[in-house]
Amino acid sequence: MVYWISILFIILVSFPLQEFAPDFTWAYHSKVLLVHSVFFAAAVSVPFPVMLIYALVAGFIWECRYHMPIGNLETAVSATQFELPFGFTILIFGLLGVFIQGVRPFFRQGRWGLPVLMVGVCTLLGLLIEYLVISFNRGGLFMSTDFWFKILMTALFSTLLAPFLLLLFSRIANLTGYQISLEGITRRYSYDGNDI
Amino acid sequence: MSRLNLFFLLIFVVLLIWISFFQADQVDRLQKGTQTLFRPFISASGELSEAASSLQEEKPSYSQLQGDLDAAKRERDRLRLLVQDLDDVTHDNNELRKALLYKNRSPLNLLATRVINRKSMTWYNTITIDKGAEDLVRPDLAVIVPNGDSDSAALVGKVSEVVGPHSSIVLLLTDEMCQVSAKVEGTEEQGILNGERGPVSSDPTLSLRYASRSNPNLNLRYLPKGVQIKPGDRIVSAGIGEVFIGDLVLGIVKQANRGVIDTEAVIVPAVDFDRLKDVFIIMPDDTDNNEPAEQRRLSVKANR
Repeated sequence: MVYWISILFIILVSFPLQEFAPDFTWAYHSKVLLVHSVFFAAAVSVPFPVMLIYALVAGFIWECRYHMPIGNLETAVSATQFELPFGFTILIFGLLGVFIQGVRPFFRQGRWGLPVLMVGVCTLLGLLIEYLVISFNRGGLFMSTDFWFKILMTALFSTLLAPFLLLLFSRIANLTGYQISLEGITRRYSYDGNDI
Repeated sequence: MSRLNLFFLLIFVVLLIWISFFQADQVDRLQKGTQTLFRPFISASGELSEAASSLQEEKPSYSQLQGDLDAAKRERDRLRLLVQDLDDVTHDNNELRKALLYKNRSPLNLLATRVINRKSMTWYNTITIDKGAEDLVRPDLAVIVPNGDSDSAALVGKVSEVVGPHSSIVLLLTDEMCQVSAKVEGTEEQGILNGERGPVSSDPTLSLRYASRSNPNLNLRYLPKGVQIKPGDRIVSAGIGEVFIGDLVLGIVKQANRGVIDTEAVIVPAVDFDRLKDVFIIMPDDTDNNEPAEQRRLSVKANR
């Protein structure tokens, strides 16, 4: 419980820190999505219900801060447009959180390679889904090389950040005596690496 | 899946559906609250970015500084002479302005604002300015800057969202969703001008499309096939939509491509989006903001 609250606190702190994350113009305007990285890294270490709570909290605050109305277009008579529905980030976090929970056994065993990679992959998938929805609303799929570089670089920054976050979370887990449980996936993975 | 997980999943889905049905005014209230909470961080991050970028600027050598100083001294002497002449001209000009009731004739009511954060959103080209709800700013108001030394104004974008009592987000002209009905100056044939999706693009068909990553060129589409357009022509807003007034300078034609059905052109923006610092919001005529009259009534020459 203490561990879960600590991680929730870290997720909340990541929001003001996100404001200081720079735009890397040299890297195709990519940026460090700190909140995404923290959420995905946290999702590796907590049970499914807690992950959903994190998704709800992090997604909701993200939407409140970064949800973007477009306003009226000169070329069309329409009400204020929202290209991405409010709450879309919650959905993205929820879906990808479920996805990344599959690598919890690796994190528990101290094999961080795949969890680190998955943080980057989930960041990339999140951005890609957002872009596809935006493209769907605008009625044309336009994927330039620079677009791919932008989301790949953003995912790379998340991947680079992930080991430090996982290290932080494992240290907090040790301090709080938290044991990562594998409920829901123990039947499929009866061997968890702790028996030797 | 255990019952507990299923129960939480159900709660999550219900809450997600509830949140997705929030009305625009509810979202607006939530966002304003959040922005107020985050404003110190947004301002601090903007200041930090400014400080960091100033550190990155190349330091000039001693000889360069000496040269600059000499040039500045020469310029100072020249300007001293000019100022003496200008005093007389200014006096005459002020008298003429009074006589013509220039203030009342000026069509625009401008609100001076300062850019407090240049960071864009992930998928949108935006800046944050220091005027908001308390200054009667509202979405879809056009944002301009004076265009060089002339009396004309250049379009920066439009207010996309008022996020606090003293902050708003401006969607820049370089964004695909900031569409402007535009025309070649001196003609009546119109097209639609907008930026590109995402902050940058590398359309292989046009290697010259991007001047720089922060200042991408714009696309002018749907011009009639037979329109008279050539590189160097000035593009201005047509003023037929509900958002932007006419004759705001948008840019200069860099390249025109005549297609089978219509003509498209690549436009170099009139505004240097890297250097935006002070911008003006065109307020509705009935708005009585508290800015000094001279700033509010920056003149834009309607018919050049």
